[in-house]
Amino acid sequence: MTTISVASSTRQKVISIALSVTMQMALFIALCTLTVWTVYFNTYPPIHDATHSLRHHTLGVPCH
Amino acid sequence: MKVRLLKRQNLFLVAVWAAALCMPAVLATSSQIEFQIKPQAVLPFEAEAKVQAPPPIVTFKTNAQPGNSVGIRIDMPPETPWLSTDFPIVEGRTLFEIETPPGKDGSLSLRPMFPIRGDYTIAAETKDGAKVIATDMFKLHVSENPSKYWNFAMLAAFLFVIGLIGGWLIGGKQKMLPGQLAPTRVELLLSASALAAIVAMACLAVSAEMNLHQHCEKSEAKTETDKSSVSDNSYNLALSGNAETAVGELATFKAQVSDKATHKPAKTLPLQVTVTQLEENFVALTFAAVTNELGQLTWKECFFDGAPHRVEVRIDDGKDNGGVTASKTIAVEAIHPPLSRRLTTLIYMMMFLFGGLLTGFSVTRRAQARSASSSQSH
Repeated sequence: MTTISVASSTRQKVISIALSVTMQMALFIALCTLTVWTVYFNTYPPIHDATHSLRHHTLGVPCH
Repeated sequence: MKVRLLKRQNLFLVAVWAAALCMPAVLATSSQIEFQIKPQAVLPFEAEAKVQAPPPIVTFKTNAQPGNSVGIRIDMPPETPWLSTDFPIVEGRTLFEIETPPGKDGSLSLRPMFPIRGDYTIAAETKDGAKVIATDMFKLHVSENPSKYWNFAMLAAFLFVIGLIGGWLIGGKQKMLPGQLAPTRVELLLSASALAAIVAMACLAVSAEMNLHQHCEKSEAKTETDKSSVSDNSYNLALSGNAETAVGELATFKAQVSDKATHKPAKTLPLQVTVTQLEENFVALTFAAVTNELGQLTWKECFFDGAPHRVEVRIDDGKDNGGVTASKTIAVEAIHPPLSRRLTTLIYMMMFLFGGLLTGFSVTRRAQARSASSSQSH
């Protein structure tokens, strides 16, 4: 009985954290950051070659 | 009368302004060394440009006499930790270094491609053997290409708007239906972000495949053999130096010319050097110089682009000898920019997104608070 109630309260805590506004913002920023990083800064050669021109035409984006 | 005088003055000013634009700029002069550059406004190398601007003409005029030598060293702008340039690996490195006998009028002219924005330091000296006759330092400011500021501004505005939409959706009413993990609008927002990430990855994957095929075609086209040792009726010309180097490293090259009849070094023979990047076919460096007492021309240069380059040396003695040319293909290893420099720019970009997010969120929450207070008062 105690085990079930502990598991339930942990689940509630996880849900409340996962659904908090802060977490929603963090997820949104993380997804956008990942996209921007891939397009502008990823060094994986095929991705780099595909976005080479875009990177060189944007201020502050280092290339090789 | 006054009006006429004013008109004449204006015409004079326009003429002076036009002349200043057309004439090479005398940036600095010491008692014995004069530094000129044409055109006056120098922009850095623009990678992937539709039409690549040719490198500027840099001329050093000296009082060096026959038998003297002219030494030039061009150092690139120091590292800028706050806003990276296109090629951060070459920041603070030496772009070009040469010591050669001067031309007939004591001058030395070269056309180096300036790869990054900032203040270049140019050291020039004339020597008589080991004795330094004159020395001077010059500064050359290279402004960033204005289109890059515009492109960054557009990207910043785009990220701000995306953040604004995100903040507006997250800040809205967080009502949840039974069985939902998050409010509908937030679920939609995160789904849209995930979809954007998937589309970006898919576009990159397709584009990468297309680039791969282009590279295959290019490499097939570059199978010419180098001629590092050539000769004509009058001279033997040999080009030696680094066969491979890396971005930011100073590579050394030497052209050796000997007289075919006497087998002795060919002194004060004019040579034309051209360095071409082979992927985009732009000229990275070109200069004319003469061989020294040993029939040699030695120079050092730093490659800023991680792509194969071709170094060509042509004997330019004015005779109709077909322009005997020695060439050498150099493999230049690309060096990825440091992680810290990439993260710095990423943080700048994300600040715009975060700013938009906070703005959207706070505006929505304030609007909600206002509507709640007005409904309570009613």
